Amino acid sequence: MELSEHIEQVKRENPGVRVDCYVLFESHTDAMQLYELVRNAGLGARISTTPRQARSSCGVALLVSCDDAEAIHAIAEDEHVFVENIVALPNQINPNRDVYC
Amino acid sequence: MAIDRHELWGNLGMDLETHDQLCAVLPQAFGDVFLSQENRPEGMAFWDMVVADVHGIRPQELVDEQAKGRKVFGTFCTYVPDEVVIAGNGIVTGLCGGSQFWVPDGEKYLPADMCPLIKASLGARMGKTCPFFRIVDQIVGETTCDGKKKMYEIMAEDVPMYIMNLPNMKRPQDVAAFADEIALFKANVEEITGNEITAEKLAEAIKVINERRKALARVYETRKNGDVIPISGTDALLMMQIAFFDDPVRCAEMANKLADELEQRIADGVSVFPAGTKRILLTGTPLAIPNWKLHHIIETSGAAIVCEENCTGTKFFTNLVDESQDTLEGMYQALAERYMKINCACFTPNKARIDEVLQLAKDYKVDGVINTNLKFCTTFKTEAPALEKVLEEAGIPVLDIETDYTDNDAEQLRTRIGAFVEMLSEK
Ligand code: SF4
Ligand code: SF4
Repeated sequence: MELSEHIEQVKRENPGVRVDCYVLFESHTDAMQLYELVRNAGLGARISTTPRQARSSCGVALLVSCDDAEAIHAIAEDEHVFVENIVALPNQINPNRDVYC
Repeated sequence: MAIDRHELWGNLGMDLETHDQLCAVLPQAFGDVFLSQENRPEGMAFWDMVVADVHGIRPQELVDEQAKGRKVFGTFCTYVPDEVVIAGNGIVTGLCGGSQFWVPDGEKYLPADMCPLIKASLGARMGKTCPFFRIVDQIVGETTCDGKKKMYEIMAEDVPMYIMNLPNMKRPQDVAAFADEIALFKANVEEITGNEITAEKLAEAIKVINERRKALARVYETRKNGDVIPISGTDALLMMQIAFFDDPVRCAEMANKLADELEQRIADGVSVFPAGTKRILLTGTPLAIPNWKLHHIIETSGAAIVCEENCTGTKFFTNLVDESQDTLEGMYQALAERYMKINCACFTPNKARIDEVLQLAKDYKVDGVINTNLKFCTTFKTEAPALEKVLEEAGIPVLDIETDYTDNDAEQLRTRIGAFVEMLSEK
């Protein structure tokens, strides 16, 4: 499925909820490299853990706006940074959950 | 397919299935606590990366260094002098457990009415669910609180253990005794690493660790600004927690970069909290990674933590070791003098801690103090009333909190902390 299609589908499935995109990598060095490139291009990105809903194994991911996902994907391709996947998910962040680890 | 850390963990003899349950909860807690914050300093990206793959990146580095012949020493107390290990070309990794996840495994060996830090630490080793505990070539314990002392006896059955004898008083003869103890530890490090520790090497290591102290202190210095709070307490805590197991040179480099950014934020008036947010000094027992509960609750209750008076805070970097000594004996004494200034509740008397807390309250311009102690930590609990009395006499409101690693009391903590912050706002 095309990335844009995937994002639209997740948005349709989660009406009224913010949908974020997570960029997944094979290694943290790829993640940090793309992070720098994306920031230098003036786009927003934050370092995140890989959400369990996106992949079963831990690792460094980038949390980005789904509006920028296509552009970020293009930067990765141009600069040959290997991206494993880009996954749209309904908002995963809840500061009032009070579930710690 | 992502780089599979399972091979690394499997080679370390870890219990992969159980460990996977820990991997499952970390991303959610990290998102809730850190990614919910607005306008975080850019420099936090490094520490976010470390924690996002906390059982992968640094453990892999340690294993790679071991393959080159270096030895890894695990520690549990800010009194253990990293300088000696560094001088022997060893690596130090802090091991204190800060997660409830490890507590049940600790309780298989320890009484339930023991501090969660001790239970979690033993549980992480015995349950085979923490790579750092598997990697270490030797653990360095110390004679601080009774709970840790007795826990080390049990852990010593499972892993090579060296115990440093810490005095419980701070008279000149105690400082001298600790200097002797550091000399003994030097011999131990030489034996484990196979490397001779010369005066030159120790002097160099003293500089490395002093640089780390200065860098961390620079970050804290920016938190003293009364108008701008350039970094949340939660973020500062994460930096401190990771300082315990990161490479000290890289730690200093990253902390200096962050301090540059925070100083710029002050110049530009960039604050992570709205003007007028109540400033809190958090005092008491250490907050080992990933213990973020209290920071998160306080900072989502309308207050900001601007300083931590504990071993995952000021105690880790306050006071430098004198760099002017050129003999090993002179350096042991200089090290002993610096370390013996850490005001831990395991010492008696410990009145200097009260003076230090008062000074910190002033320096960081705090509106109130939250004094916390881990459940069943007798030493800190026993001296809490004396500390709180002096603070109250100085007109500084104080809230006493006893908690552990479970989530059960979160709602109750929110109520109490919310009421305390409201009271500060009415003052
Ligand atoms: S609180 Fe005391 S025993 Fe614990 S790490 Fe600090 S100095 Fe060591
Ligand atoms: S918090 Fe208290 S009981 Fe727990 S290890 Fe530290 S000094 Fe010992």
